[in-house]
Amino acid sequence: MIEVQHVTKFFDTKRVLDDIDATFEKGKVNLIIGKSGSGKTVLLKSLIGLLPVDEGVITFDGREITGAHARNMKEIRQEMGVVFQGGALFDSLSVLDNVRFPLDLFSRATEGEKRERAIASLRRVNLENVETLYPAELSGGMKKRVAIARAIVLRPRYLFCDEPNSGLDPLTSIVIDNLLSELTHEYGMTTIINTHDMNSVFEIGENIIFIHQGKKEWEGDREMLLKTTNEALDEFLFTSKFNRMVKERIA
Amino acid sequence: MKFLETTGNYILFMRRIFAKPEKARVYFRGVTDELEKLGLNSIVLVMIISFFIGAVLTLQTAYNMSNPMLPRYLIGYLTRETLLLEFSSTIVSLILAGKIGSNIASEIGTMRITEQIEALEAMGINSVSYLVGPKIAAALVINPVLYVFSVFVGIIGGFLAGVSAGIVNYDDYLNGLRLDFNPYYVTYSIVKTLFFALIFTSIPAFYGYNVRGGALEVGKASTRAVVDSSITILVANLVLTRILL
Ligand SMILES: Nc1ncnc2c1ncn2[C@@H]1O[C@H](COP(=O)(O)OP(=O)(O)OP(=O)(O)O)[C@@H](O)[C@H]1O
Ligand SMILES: [Mg+2]
Repeated sequence: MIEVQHVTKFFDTKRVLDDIDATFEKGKVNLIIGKSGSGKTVLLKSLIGLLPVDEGVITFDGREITGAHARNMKEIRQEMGVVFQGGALFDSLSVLDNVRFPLDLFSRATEGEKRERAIASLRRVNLENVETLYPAELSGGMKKRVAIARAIVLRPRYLFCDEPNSGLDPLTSIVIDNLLSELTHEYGMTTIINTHDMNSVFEIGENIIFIHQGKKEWEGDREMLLKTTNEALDEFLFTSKFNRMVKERIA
Repeated sequence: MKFLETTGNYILFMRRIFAKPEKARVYFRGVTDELEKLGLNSIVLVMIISFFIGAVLTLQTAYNMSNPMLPRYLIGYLTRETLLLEFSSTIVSLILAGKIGSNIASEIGTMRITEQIEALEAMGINSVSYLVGPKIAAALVINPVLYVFSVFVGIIGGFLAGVSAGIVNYDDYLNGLRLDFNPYYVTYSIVKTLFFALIFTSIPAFYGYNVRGGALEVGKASTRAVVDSSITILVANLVLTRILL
């Protein structure tokens, strides 16, 4: 479980996160949704400890990482996996070496064991016989999968994904979404995913927070989304004709 | 103002390079990879350039010595001195600043804009020391070696050009090479190559690391890196010469 209390973040004088409170639960797919520029990535990077927050407290199962407690992050880094927006695979390393990378850093296993674990991780995301390829030789969907394989190779307690299906076709997106959802339940991870993809929201969202102009405007689950009276959220979700139509049908 | 700010940031950046690397083994593999990359990528270029410059130096010296009073062995002597003191250290480093510098800036810049650097940081790696440390270490090893190669290849180039054009004979050239040899010049030049190696790796790395935006900015950073490291090499050359000679 990750808890966020009163988190505020400025860039110069611009308040990008404004007094955010949220709880992300273990074993669940927690979504951060909001339109472009609302602050999703900044919030996610603050959680990962890549951006320092100006105010507020973030705790990972009771371990604070903000302010004077930044040292705790060192231990938590080995317990978390991150899938960046473009995958962020290391161009100079093969697929296998990318996935092995966290093991080389943190694991004392033998070379053979590390190799096995990396291959098992690739298999878990349904990739086989790609070990020797380089990132430039992969399709967008494969890159995302390799990134996921790398993120889960240490069996993390926490998984963070920044728009895991940006740039993917709807079908591949659903496959990736479901993969993330399965992994979350299988490993009992606290998973946090940034997205503005409506399909993902309804496909896998279990606990959803909506960010608007740096503020948390709303939180709830999928069913509650359909009945929302929050204006900004309604606009965000149901501006497209198709979504509006679906909503009206259901109502 | 901007200059001071950039310089200050560069110094802070350098401090992060020399922070203790987290895992020696991973770091060491980086150094051997870089040695291979830097060495193989530049040795052929340096040899080709040194060969031709050595040849031209010899020919030009010969053509400028129309006065029969001047002994012919001066041709070999002057070729050696020019290579030893200036060409093989400074000019070769300037060439490497163009080749290796732009390479480093665009490699690290691309890693920045594709979030690879953040991926490293998220894993708890000091990305600066991990990415830049091995490059600097490798260049510090390689650049003096390239210097030595360059001097030898340049001298051979000069010899072949001079002898084949019939403007200097074997004995004169060799006597010139042996004349008045001051080993301190080699020390002085090797010290310079070390400073230059530091410059043409760390400045491009700094610009690459601080890229914000997209591919266009990576290109700009790479150009700026080459220009600034070249200028810095020239200034350092002047300062080191004042101090060391
Ligand atoms: N390093 C930075 N320096 C200054 N401002 C920044 C920085 N990073 C983000 N911002 C600003 O913070 C705001 C939130 O950005 P953020 O990237 O979190 O949006 P987002 O919700 O992830 O959008 P998208 O869906 O497009 O990825 C934006 O207004 C952005 O301009
Ligand atoms: Mg974003």
